[in-house]
Amino acid sequence: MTYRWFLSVQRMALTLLAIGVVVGGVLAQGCVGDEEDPLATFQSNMMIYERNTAGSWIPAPSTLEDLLDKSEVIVIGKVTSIQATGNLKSYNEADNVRLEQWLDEVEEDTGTRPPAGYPPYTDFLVEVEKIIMNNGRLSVGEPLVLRMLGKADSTPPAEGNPVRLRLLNDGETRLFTLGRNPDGTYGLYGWWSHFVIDGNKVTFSDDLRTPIHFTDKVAPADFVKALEDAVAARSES
Amino acid sequence: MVRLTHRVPLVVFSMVVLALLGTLVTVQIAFAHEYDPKFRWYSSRVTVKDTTKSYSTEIDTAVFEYNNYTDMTWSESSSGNMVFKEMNFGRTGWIAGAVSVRPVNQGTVGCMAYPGLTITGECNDHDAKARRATIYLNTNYKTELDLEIDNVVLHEPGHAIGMAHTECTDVSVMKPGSCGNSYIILKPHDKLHINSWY
Repeated sequence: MTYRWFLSVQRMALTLLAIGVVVGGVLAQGCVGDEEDPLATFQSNMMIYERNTAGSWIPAPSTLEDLLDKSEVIVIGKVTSIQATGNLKSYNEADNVRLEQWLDEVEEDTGTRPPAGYPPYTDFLVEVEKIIMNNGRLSVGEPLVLRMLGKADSTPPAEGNPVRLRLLNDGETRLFTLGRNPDGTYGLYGWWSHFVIDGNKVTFSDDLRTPIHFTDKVAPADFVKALEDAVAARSES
Repeated sequence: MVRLTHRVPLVVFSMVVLALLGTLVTVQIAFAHEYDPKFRWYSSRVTVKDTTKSYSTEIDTAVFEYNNYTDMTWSESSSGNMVFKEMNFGRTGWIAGAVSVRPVNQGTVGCMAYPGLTITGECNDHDAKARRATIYLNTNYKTELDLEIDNVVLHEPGHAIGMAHTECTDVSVMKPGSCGNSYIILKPHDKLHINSWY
């Protein structure tokens, strides 16, 4: 009798434990994704840059066409020098003069003005070597000013640094897909908007040299040709 | 038999504990990667000031969502301490960001991160409590903002009250925008965290 009672209780306990696991699983399902995303692996790798940040960053393109949609100009250019550094500012909508409005507001709120260069931007002079997509404002051999968030620093990102993107160094050549700022400088459409093209395969210009995922034309010459063909097809249509 | 009968409450209690344990362990496994930034809003009340021209409806919806589906109290006010603001920051790569402000004279708690600079350590690795926050919507990316605004108005305040980014595979409004397929209502993951903090 006692043994049966024990078995009965044991069965009930195991059943309830199983129920607990199932309930937990259902609850957990609400937190863990159940979606099949073909870019999941790639994007998971990207998260090293994204975790613990607050900016809603522009997603990387999913196709070559998407890349064109997210580009005003596409050029191959060489970084020649740093033109300026300073605090991130906003643009006045009326005259495109750069404002320190948000820094003023922080000072009003806190009684403390963020120090110079916080948060930083850097203006690079980039000599245009080849134009793949033009907005009518660029010429080969002429410089453009590329404004990037961040402080120019050739020090490699520290281990564990969640932001492993680095800025450019003098003499580096990249393929840029850019947008134009209100004051005539250019900016990266997304963090992914500069590509390394001097190896065997085109990669994103990140610290990990992540391979591109949105085209099978991964040899630099093939990639440039694919871009040129896509731009030409657009201009014909 | 009589003695065993006396033990029934204890046995039942043990079984309930086991069931709860099973639940907790399973959920905990799901959250194993979760990174708690420790950063918090100073109270369970948030008043939102909307200065945007284009996104009032979406901000109303976000306030409703936080107010009705979490244990926090959210409302809108012209003197709100969480301000939504449109500004043109140019081609920066991000469409929105949150900057939180610590109590008087304590400086900013910058939650953005940039190439070459990690401000996030300042934001996430201590237990500061913000009294004010500004959610900047970068109007240079109007097209993307219009597409993503339902998520952005939930996601950025999420940072201001202490939520970090999740992985792309998580079902949460705190998935980074770069993952795509953003969620536009608070998910169980989000509510669980918020309600455990406030």
